[in-house]
Amino acid sequence: MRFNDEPKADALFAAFALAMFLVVAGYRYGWQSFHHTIPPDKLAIDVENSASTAATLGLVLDLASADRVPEGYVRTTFENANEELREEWAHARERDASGGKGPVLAAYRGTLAELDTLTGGIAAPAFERSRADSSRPRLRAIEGTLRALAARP
Amino acid sequence: MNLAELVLGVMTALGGFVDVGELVFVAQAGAKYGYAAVWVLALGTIGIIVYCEMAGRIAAVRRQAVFDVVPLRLGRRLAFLALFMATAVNLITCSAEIGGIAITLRLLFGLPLQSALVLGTLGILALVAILPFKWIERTFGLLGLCMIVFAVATVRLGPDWAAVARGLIPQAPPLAGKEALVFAYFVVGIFSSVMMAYEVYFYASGGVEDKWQPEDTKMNAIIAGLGSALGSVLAIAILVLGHLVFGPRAIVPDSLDAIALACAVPLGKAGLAIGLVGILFAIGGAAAEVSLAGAYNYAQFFGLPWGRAKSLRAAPKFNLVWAAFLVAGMLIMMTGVDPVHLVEYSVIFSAAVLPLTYWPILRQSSDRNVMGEHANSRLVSALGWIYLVLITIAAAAGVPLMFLTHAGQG
Repeated sequence: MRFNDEPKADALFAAFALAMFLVVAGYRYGWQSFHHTIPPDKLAIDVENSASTAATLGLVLDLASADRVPEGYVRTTFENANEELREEWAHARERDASGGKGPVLAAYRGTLAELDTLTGGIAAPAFERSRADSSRPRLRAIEGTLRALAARP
Repeated sequence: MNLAELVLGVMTALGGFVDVGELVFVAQAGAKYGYAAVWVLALGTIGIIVYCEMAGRIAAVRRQAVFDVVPLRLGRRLAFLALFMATAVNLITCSAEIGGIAITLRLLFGLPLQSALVLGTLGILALVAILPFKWIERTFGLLGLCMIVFAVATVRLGPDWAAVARGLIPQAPPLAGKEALVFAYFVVGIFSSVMMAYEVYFYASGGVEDKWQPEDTKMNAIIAGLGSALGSVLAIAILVLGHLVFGPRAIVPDSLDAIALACAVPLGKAGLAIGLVGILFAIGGAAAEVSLAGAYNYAQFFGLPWGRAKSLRAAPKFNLVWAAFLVAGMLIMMTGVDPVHLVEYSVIFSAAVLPLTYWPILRQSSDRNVMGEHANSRLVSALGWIYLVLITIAAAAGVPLMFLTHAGQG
């Protein structure tokens, strides 16, 4: 093709933009999930990520108790974490359907579900709960369990 | 150019140095490896100084921006491939920056994510449409200086400065197998996030827009050198914070909300708010720059009229393309894709494209027939060739490392 041909260049660019959009959307709805579930060692990564999320929530609660982060920030962080965990939860279910890793998966699933419930329950009245200090020991326990799971072969 | 303008240029370059790619890679590297990756930041910073200085000098002497030069040195077919790949990377980067803006707006004001996406994109569209070129850079760059709060937070936490300085010596932590590959992935990621090519497309085109003259080459060297060097100090501060705040808690700070928390630990609510404003404008500036860079590249390659000083009627395609980049970026983010995943792809694929735009600039700036007395000095030539080798290694290693390590997760 002639590269100084403007109409052709425009058509090419429009097609290119559309293709890029489809690739990224395809990644979001297809490949991302494929990429997430296939590698056999991915469970440890998921568990490690979830433990990091639990530790981040613990840090947010520590800071909230010391009045170093505003209420809105705590709520948004918990809502974000909850969304992340729902995704992890969906992946755990997919893995369960495809055979999974037996007891490790079951323990992970249980811990994740508890963390999911915890953040879901906290998302609305996050600040009050963090002041009451009732959720940090549970978060720490969940984080510890997740780290122990991640360390298992 | 007077001293005030020079200082403003350096401050703008400093405020605009850190973008979402650096935030993601650098904070995580600090949490995972302590100070072992400080040298990579220094290495990348020298590289971007060399690249920017050469491209800026060509803009001052020849009034040519990057994609004016690329077809001359690569031929139109290979240059078209470079344009195609650069555009893909720019679009992914633009999407990730818009996603970062939306997350930051959500953290600052508690907006729903989709509303924050629309609001953030409209804000950038309006600022780029209304402001003259110089003030686009300055508005984002100067407000991005709020990122200095990360350096203040670092000083407050009192790191072991001798250990930080030892991090400048090239090294690798004692790792084996897959863990060593993950470190290598972070090395490539940090190096590439500092050397994102869109910054150079924007910088050189800006030089042409600002009508730089051959006598401005010294000012170009100072802005490229000092602005980037100070910016890299800021990036090192983020790495140190990653180590001090997240390392002991075994947190991998792979989201903007976690990264911003690092300011809250020593500085409380005020530090967090200033940090978020800094992130908002640093990322907003990057979104504006990358969308304009996409339009500059397109217009330069096809020989169309371009420039922010030109009206919509005088440069319709150019104006349409930068706006289309921002809107396409917003639509991509609305699919729900994770901006952090997207950042990693944009940084790693940017490294893969880099040799195709770096090599023509190195050749053009070395050519005495073209540049006359302003051709590369021996020092710049030597650095230029060394970095061509490093860039080529990063380009070849980035994508395989990304897949082997599940994007640095192990």
